[in-house]
Amino acid sequence: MDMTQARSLFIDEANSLLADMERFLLEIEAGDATSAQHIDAIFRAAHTIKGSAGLFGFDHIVAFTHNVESVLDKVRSGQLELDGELINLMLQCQDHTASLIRQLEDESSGIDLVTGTALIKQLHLYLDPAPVVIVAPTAALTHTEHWQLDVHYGEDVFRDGMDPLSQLHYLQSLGELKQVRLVPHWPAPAAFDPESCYLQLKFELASTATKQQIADVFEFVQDNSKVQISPPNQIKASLDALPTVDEKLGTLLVNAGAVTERELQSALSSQKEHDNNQALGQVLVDQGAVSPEMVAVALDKQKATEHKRPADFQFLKVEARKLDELINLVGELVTAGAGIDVLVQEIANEKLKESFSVLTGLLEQIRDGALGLRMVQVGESFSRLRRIVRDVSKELGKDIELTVEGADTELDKSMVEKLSDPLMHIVRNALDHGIESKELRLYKGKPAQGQLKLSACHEAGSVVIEIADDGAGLNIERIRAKAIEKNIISADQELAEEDIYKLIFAPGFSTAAAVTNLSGRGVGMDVVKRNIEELRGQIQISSVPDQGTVFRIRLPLTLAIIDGFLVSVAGTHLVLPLNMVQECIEFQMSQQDNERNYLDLRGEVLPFIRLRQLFDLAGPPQSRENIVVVQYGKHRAGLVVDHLHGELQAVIKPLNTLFRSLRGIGGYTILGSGNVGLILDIPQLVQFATNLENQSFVH
Amino acid sequence: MPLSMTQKADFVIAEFDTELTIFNVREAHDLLQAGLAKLPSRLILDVTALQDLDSAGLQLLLWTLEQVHSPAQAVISAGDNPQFRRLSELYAVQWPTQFTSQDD
Repeated sequence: MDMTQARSLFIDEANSLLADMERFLLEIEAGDATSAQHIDAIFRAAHTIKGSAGLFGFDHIVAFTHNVESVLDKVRSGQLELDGELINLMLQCQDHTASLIRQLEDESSGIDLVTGTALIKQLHLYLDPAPVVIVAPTAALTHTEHWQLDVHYGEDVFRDGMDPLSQLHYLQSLGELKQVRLVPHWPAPAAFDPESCYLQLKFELASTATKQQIADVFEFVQDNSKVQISPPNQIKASLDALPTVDEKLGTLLVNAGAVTERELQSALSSQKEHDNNQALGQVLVDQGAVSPEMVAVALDKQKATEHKRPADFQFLKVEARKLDELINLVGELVTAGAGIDVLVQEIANEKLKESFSVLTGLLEQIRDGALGLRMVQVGESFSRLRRIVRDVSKELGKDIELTVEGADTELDKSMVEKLSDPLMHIVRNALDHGIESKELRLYKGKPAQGQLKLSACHEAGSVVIEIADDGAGLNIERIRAKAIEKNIISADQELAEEDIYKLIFAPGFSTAAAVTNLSGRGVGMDVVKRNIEELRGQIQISSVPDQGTVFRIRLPLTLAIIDGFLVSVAGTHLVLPLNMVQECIEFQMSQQDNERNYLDLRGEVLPFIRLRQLFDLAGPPQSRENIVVVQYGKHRAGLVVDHLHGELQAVIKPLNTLFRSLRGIGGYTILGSGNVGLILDIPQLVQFATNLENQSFVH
Repeated sequence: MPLSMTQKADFVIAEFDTELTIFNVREAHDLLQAGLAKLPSRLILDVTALQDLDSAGLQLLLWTLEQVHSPAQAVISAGDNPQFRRLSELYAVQWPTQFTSQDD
């Protein structure tokens, strides 16, 4: 490996580690994970970047990350708490490290020394030991060989008909009471009420009973008394002995018998009520439910699980170029296979047909497997957006909650990468213009906190990504007026609501100033649409005034190879993506009204397109024509073709730039016969058919 | 009446009846307060007759002993009351049973 390659590997690895670091910090900040769960990984990211940078002599990166690592080490050892303020600083450090890495790729850009110096100063405030003192809570319990109980009775216990005596009696049936201490908490003499209880009982219980059994004894006094039951060492040992499983901290402690379900629920509620980022383990310790040592054992158990994960799910880093080569080869194999299929059909030998059928089956599996290698979770893009939402909403002074659904939906890696910018632009738009200010939302009777939802799911062979906000919605009148002002439409042009929304994608719709403010990348919504269409995707908008706007992006699963359906018109071979084909029916010209491009399909109006006319193909129509019914999203349309040839695997090749403007053609493929088959862009054709029919109704 | 108070020389003896529970602690408390208001130098809480004692009663005994400040003294006289002994053992309470010698 030469130095250029090694350097490139370092940059890749650093970027990947920084992405992990950002994701983990954001998860902790959002309360989705505890500091204890992620601190090792965050520390490791900084440590690895520092170490690798040292190997290459990138001393400025080493110097900066050394400070970051030192602060993180203090968090790891429990000397510092990873609170909101420190998370914020760490995110800024992550940004700065990313900029240092970017500078390695583009050496023409300078190093931002001002930011780096300021960050190091802030980091040193944490490294200075004086101001930071972490005091263990006084209520923290320690371990003995017996259960330790500390019951501070509420004043109403006697009046409620309860008597601690009966609880002691009952506990004697569970084991032996030891070291009983009665601690009265007397009020001022004048305030003493003989019917109030001022007693606190501390004692040990030598028993094999579970914590739940012991806690049940105090069931009726729990609401107005403070009951702390600390498990004996034996429970620590049983926690240690538990099999390593991927469990949450609370579940681990409950399973080991160290914490009762009630204590766990109480701690979780407390965490939620106080809306703090305090770790669950700390809340349980503060509540006296469990000792810090027990939490430490459980956390070690969790870490053991996390460390075990790589063994369960081993990953291998492969250069994207090698994967692309493999997929190209598989594509060639598919094309060659189609050629052999033609020959096999000609020879008409049953044994050969059978053998070839097995080979085809295996080939399909190899194809799917190879394509699967490039599939990544769309959540990778969503993670970046999480940071954008956090930063932009802070900048705008808006309180916005981001909800993510379906982050594990898989999509071709190249698409995920190309999707990043359009998604970022739409999200920034939603944050800036969609979701109103806190004051305006309250005035409208909406919750002060705005909602932004990102979701992804599979739908009919496509991936659908939605960006939905609960903001002001799009203003039809303003869009229309602006489109007229910019000469995008004429003043007398009638447009359906959906078409008016689409005007925001028109080139030149956004003003230059707005583009800069919104995207920060100099792209307008026209570029967003173009990017998505380059991915053979479609974008739709729905909006309700004062309720919000939804951007719906529909993308094909892959860009490389598809299962297709081959048809022909006037000798031209056309391929339709099979997952969009619904049915094929005979098209009888005689029964058709020439004026209208729609037919009655079992009581449903089905618009159709005559492909012969659309593509201006020579030759008279065949005596028998067929209609292929295709569906895209909610819309259906018919395509009139001459012949139906059946299924095939199509390796998608992009059209030369010269032909990119062709409407309705998304690419081409080489057929088994060696002929070229044009791959139809069904979404565009369906849209075209629907619009054509709508217009014919309007006129 | 849960108890009766008698004065003998510089002693005040609070002699409890058979029951000292949540049902009569308030009355017992009021009577004890009245007796303590006379500022006796020595108080004997006689619980030998107690048959029915609960935690509220035990708390009142503890509170009463707490209220007698030095140089005054207070002791418990339980005799061989098994009920009182069991409860005291369960709570691990050590009662003062003798006046200190220098005050005798």
